[in-house]
Amino acid sequence: MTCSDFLHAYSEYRDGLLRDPAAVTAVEAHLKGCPTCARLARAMAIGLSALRDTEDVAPSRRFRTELTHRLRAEVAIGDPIAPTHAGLAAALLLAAALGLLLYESVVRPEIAAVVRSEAIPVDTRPYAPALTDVTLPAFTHSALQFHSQQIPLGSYAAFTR
Amino acid sequence: MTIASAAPRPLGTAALTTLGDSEVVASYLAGERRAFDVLVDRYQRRLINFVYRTIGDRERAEDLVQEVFIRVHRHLHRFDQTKKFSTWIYTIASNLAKNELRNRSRNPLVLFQTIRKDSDQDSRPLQFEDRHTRPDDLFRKRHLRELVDWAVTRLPEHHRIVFVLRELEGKTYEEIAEITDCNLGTVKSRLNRARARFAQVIGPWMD
Ligand SMILES: [Zn+2]
Repeated sequence: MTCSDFLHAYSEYRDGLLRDPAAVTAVEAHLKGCPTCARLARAMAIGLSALRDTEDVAPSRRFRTELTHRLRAEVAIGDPIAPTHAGLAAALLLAAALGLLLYESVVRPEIAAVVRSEAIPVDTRPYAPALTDVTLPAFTHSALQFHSQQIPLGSYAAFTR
Repeated sequence: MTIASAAPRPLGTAALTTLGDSEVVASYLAGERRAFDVLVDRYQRRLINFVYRTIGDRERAEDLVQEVFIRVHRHLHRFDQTKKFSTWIYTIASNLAKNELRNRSRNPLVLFQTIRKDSDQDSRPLQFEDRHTRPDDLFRKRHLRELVDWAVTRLPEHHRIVFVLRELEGKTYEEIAEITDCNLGTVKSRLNRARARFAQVIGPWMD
């Protein structure tokens, strides 16, 4: 076995993955007879052992604090369920409002005239008396409430219960 | 049986920590938000050390591991639960570390500081290096720990990832192959070269 052969086989030999008994014997014989490869094997053994003995670094306080903030932000914008429902709620709300406006313009044209004379009322009641029964802010509120139930805003886990 | 009693009872945090990764993941996906904290607790230190050993910059390692958890959080619902979670999270960390090393190598300053670019390392025949090619400032770094830390940074990028996964994380060849998206032969070859290079770098200080 040449030194080059030894270098190619030694790593697997170290891990006990050299299955061929003849190859194992050849590696061991080379190790005994070649000071250069024996020196390399010794350096590898001491070095790898020292490396495994080095202490782990601990996560800094900054790490967990920042991660918690980032996860919180992720949850606030990225919950796959809540935004879909909120969007659906908003679409339903808009459809209901438009439907009511259409209804009023047909059934109660005098009110529709008032409505048309101003910007489309969403949250300004005096110009849209017919919309008072719709309880638009409450509907929005309930949608937001659903949203907030789905999205924890405090410590990532603590605000979920 | 009442409906209330049929509903799954939430596990306490202590109980969650006793579960295996796949059960913690399943628990999170079932709505137990605290399960994600368990995953962070379980992996933060290991991943920070893995990335730190790979890129050699502790602060940056923490930034990258934060990114790992953000990505896990975003994509956990798509994670194939028949797979091993630790392999998946290490794959994400390994890819981010690899990107970081590549970005650094494109930075002219970092490139200048890098002793050797590693793109041709796989094809170069294994041979002993000249024992006298050691940087002067390292003569003072007699301490073995500093020496081995430094030796790891001297390994080519893709050899280093394999080396750290094996030597410091204790991953099997098969896991490393999956994490690095390489075949077993490539893993063996890279690990072999990395170990030989590592031993050659520290060898002159061992005598
Ligand atoms: Zn030899």
